Amino acid sequence: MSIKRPADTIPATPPSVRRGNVFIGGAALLVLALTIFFLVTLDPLPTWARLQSGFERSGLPLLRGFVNPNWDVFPLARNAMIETVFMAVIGTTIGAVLAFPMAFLAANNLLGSRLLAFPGKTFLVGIRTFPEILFAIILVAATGPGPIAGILAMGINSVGFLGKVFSDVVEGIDAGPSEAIRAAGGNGLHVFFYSVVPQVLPEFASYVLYRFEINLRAASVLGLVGAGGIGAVLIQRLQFRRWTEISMIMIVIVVVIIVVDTLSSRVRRRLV
Amino acid sequence: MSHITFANVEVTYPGGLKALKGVDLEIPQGQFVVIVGLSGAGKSTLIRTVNSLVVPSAGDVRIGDRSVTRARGGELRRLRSDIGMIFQTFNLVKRSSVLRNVLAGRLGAVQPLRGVLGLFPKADVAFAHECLRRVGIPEKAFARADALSGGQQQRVGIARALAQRPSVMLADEPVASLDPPTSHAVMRDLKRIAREDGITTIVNLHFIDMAREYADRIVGMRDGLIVFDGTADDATDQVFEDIYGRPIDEDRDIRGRT
Repeated sequence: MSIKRPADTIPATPPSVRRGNVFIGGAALLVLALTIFFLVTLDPLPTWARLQSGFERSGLPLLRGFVNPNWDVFPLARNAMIETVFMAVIGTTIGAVLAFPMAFLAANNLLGSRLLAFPGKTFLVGIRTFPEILFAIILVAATGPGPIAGILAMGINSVGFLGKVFSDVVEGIDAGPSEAIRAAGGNGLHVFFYSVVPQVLPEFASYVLYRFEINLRAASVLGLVGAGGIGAVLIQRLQFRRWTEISMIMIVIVVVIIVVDTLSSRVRRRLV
Repeated sequence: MSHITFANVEVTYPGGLKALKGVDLEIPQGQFVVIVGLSGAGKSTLIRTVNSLVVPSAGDVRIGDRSVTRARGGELRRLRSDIGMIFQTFNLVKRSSVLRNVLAGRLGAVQPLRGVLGLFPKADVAFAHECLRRVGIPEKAFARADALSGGQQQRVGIARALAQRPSVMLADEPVASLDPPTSHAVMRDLKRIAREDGITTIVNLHFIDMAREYADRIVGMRDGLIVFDGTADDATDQVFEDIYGRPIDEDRDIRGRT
């Protein structure tokens, strides 16, 4: 049988689908047009000469530093990086522990009503509204410079992120096993521990690891505002443009982040 | 005593759908009843009123002389722990071990806190293993549930129900997700165990031939009402055409020949 059919046998696209397509296409075109407009009217336009002088003043010395890094700062960078990793571990743990109960309080399906989940959801959105660096600046003022401020900033921010993704996971669980536990005479706690928790735990663990990757990168930067870690070591060198030392520090950061990201994503693939 | 009595049971869902429109039915202890009917006829709703997963808006369901419909809280949980249930989609926790899934059937019987902490008495753990032996998959106890085939997963579902030592068993389309040979194997297991333990069993089925093969008694439902009640021999093709409201030879699916 041939699959050739006259074109007039194709059913017309429903108007609702067509309206949706036009809207999405229009929005994408608008964003693209705005971006081009912004770039064209940029003043002063980055000139080739300016790019060149910028590269000569910072880029080139940094690149030269990578070829010939100053190993004298390696012990300092290594210790600061170890501190950074610990900051990220503790900050992530604080976030995960606080986010765990929050997730269930912000999930529509567990509380039985959207209204009851609303305060939890609002709280989590509220936290996510503030950038981490803002918490860090406030906390540095409150606790003095050092890793404590960085850890707390990461912890607070991680609650917002993990609470949100955890509650999404909780909302996505299969209700069938819960029904089975209730049918067998189990109470609410039994449903929670025998159906809900085992369904969500692997994904929770995966998101915690993912957040750890994010926090490690964040912790490397938080030191710029005095919140401890390798960022503090970096900002001092940047102020005096000691490129070979900066390169050494950057190498340490990049290597550790690559190793952690690789290990973490390998573990996460196995979890879910 | 575990005979089941439905007295004028009506169910109206929120939104106004009348799923059951006054069902009267007596099921004596130990009987293996198959309920047939099209999707939406009210089979699942009827079966769920037995353990109050669906609460009737009128009427009463009793097991022996105890009303399930009126039971609340701890009393309802005690009644439910005497009623095993297996599901079309198995409803196992896929990421948990088979053993833990089966032990979930003991939750109604052990102290609530021990259950929460997973500290089951040795006798309960041994019994869970025995239930897996009875459904023929003792070697799968420590496998993750999602590593099993569909037929094996449904056997875990049966083992979980058996772990309750139930006197009543409910099976909601237990073989609808399985291929025909596996379906028959699972139905044979279910029937054999119900016979051996004298369990009063209600099974919802789509397939006519399977209903005739395994049922002590066939109950036909249509549009929220019972329209047939008799033995497998009474349930002729003509009867099934009435239940389904259409000629059955047009639609081989509902015969379920293998």
